[in-house]
Amino acid sequence: MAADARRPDPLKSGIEFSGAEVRALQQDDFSSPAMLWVTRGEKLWSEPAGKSEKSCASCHQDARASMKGVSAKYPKVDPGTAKLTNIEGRINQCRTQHQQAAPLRYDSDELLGLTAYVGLQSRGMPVNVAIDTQNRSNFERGRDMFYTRMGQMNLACTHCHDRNFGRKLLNDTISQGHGNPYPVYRLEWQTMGSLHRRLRACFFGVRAELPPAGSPDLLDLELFLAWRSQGLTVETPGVRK
Amino acid sequence: MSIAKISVPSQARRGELVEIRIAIQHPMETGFRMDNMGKVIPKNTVSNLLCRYNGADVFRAEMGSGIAANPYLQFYIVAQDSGDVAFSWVDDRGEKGSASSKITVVV
Amino acid sequence: MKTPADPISHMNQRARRRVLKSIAGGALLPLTLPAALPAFAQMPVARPPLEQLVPVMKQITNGAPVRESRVKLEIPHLAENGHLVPLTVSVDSPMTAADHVTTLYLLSEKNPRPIIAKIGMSPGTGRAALTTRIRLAGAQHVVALAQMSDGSFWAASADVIVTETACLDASEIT
Repeated sequence: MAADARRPDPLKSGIEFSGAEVRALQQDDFSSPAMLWVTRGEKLWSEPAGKSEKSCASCHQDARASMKGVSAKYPKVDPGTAKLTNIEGRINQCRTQHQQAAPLRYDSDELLGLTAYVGLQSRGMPVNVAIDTQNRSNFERGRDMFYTRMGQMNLACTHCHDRNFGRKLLNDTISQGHGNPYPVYRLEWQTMGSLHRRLRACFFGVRAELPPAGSPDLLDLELFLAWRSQGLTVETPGVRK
Repeated sequence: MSIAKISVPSQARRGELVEIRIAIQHPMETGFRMDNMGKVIPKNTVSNLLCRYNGADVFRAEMGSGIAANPYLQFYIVAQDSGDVAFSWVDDRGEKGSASSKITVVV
Repeated sequence: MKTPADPISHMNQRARRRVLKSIAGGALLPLTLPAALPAFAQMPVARPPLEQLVPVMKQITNGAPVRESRVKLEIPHLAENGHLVPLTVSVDSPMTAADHVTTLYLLSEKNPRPIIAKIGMSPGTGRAALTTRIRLAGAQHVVALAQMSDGSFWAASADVIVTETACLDASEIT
């Protein structure tokens, strides 16, 4: 499996490449601006939505118990649709199917809030995705995307995040490109954002066409990144520059 | 839904200096940004914030576009009597917010 | 575990090395520069008076003198991102009814609006200290100006370098 894919060595979370201010923000749960979205997610968790008038808590009860370790195993192939789904997709699936509510817009405060709240329940736990017959083709597509040159700059993910991590691009230190802290509060955005938004930022950085958030391309890449960051722990909700 | 968090110690000794923190989710729009259509997004910041302790004003902040998005303030008050530490604020659009927490003062 | 085959990249690296070699070979670096650097680094950096740096200060003080003492301004010298720069200001004051800080101003040299914040304090504040996060439009001086209950003004300034991000970002999902 994954014959020509490899993990960076030594494996390092992006927080290790971050400056003192970013690290201080992520470390303290009160001063972390990301926790404002967690607070929103926690409130939404028990708020009824849609025609069913059910809340997340109606089925899943206390997220602190029921969601423990869940996001560490995502993205996952949904048994019903046989499609790769991330936490955002899973939340919206619950909304449309079980709550009979409209799906939440990708990167809306509501979806970021719920995703961050669910993600927080896995904080500190190891990223834990398994590549099997169900998700192998997704994994391979994601892997190929990671190593394929794209955009006007003709760069692949690997060129920055495998070969040059730890080195500088202007005053930015290049990270290994892991998804373990997402969604994150990014200073550059002045708000919370999803992994897919961050990936789109990289696509823009190399002047490639931006895949839509939640698209199969970004889901496949998300799966490959999760495999690649195995050995790190979930940091949700993170803070990045 | 307006989201804010405050941190006030639940208990303190009379005369003790206690740390108060507040974080509000707010874009603190500068008035210098444009939307996708090139239209200026009007300035909208949490322009006035007041902290009252047992009904008396103790701390006030007038904040403009120079304060970072999702404003955060950390300061001190002197614990005197048991009562509420109550925040209220308003932004340029007139949207109001409030949050309060009780502090119990022991001798 | 082998590196994925990427002949284009290897070719580019060889070509790049050739270019780098030719630059290095042809460049005439002034060899005296490293020796001159330490002395250069020790040169004091002249800062214009605060009133000149932040003209709005004159309107606030109404021309009253401002002494550069009693105020401590802690802010990173090299800010990672101008959208969020943490700072802490503290003023040496007993914060009694007779002697306390009434107003604390955070002022910017180069932001489009020079007054970042105006903070009202009282004896009930107990300690004249504030931690917050500001926006800085580029490298500049930041000034913390305190007005005391006796009407006197005290200030501190700091020089902050604000760096830009390396990658452009148009990722916003609308």
